[in-house]
Amino acid sequence: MTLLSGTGIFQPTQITNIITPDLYEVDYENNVITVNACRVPSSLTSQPIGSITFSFIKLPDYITSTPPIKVYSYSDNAREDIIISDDEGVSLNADMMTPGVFEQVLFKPSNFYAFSDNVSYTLHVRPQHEMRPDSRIIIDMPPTLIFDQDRGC
Amino acid sequence: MLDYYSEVTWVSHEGQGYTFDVQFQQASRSYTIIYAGPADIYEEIELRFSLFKNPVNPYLKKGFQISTMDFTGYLIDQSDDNLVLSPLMSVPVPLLTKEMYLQEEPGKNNGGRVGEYNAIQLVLDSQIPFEQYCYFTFEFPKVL
Repeated sequence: MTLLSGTGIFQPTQITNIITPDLYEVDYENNVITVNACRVPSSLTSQPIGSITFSFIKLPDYITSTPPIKVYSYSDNAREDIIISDDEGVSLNADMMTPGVFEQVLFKPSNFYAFSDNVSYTLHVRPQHEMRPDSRIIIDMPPTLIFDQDRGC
Repeated sequence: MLDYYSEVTWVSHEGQGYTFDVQFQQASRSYTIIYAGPADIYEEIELRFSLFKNPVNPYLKKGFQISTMDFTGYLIDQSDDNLVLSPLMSVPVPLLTKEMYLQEEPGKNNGGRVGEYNAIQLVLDSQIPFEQYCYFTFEFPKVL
């Protein structure tokens, strides 16, 4: 949460949409960002609209819907006079996320003789990001490879 | 916010046969209430201005003034020119609409990919205006 940009009510000046660090504060402990918005007078319409983009937000480790990002707005510098309170917020839905990718480094049988029994396959993959201790690895084998469940892997 | 659509009701003498006419001057933002009788009034007068739109902050609003004139326009009585209205607004409103979009890192085809850095864009639409230099607070969930 170190780079912010905005349009409409969040646009800091007429010539740039980058919200400089002097215009926002990040409370890392509580995961809260406070933005001094509404700086361009021309955007202050009766029904203002604007977009704000938070860069470098790390997505969850797995596909899941998140609790909402809650939005509040204050009319004063002291942030005492709240004018908008949106506890319902906006959530990141699971269908907006995609799984990570594995890089396949090696997938090699112990011998290359056709229809040979007792062949070992070595699978070596590199996940693109860290894996949790309780992660499960599921490998779908093609039907032409017969796996001896009694022996395991 | 007082405007052309606001309505004035003569509450204290409603239903007693008193008549009056109301004119609103947009430029001076003043209401002229022309009392048409049928008799002189000596009691307290209560007027209600309805269809107001509340201001966007609860600060004291100054600048109200009340004057009375005779039918030719000569001033009779006049209040202090800084009468105060205290809106005492305390109920915040929700946003009209809000949408969220995920944006991939520049040069990476990783939009929405778990465990990776994305940009989150929020589009917000408010039903009330904001004053310049207002503040927004975004409370993110712990998983982000």
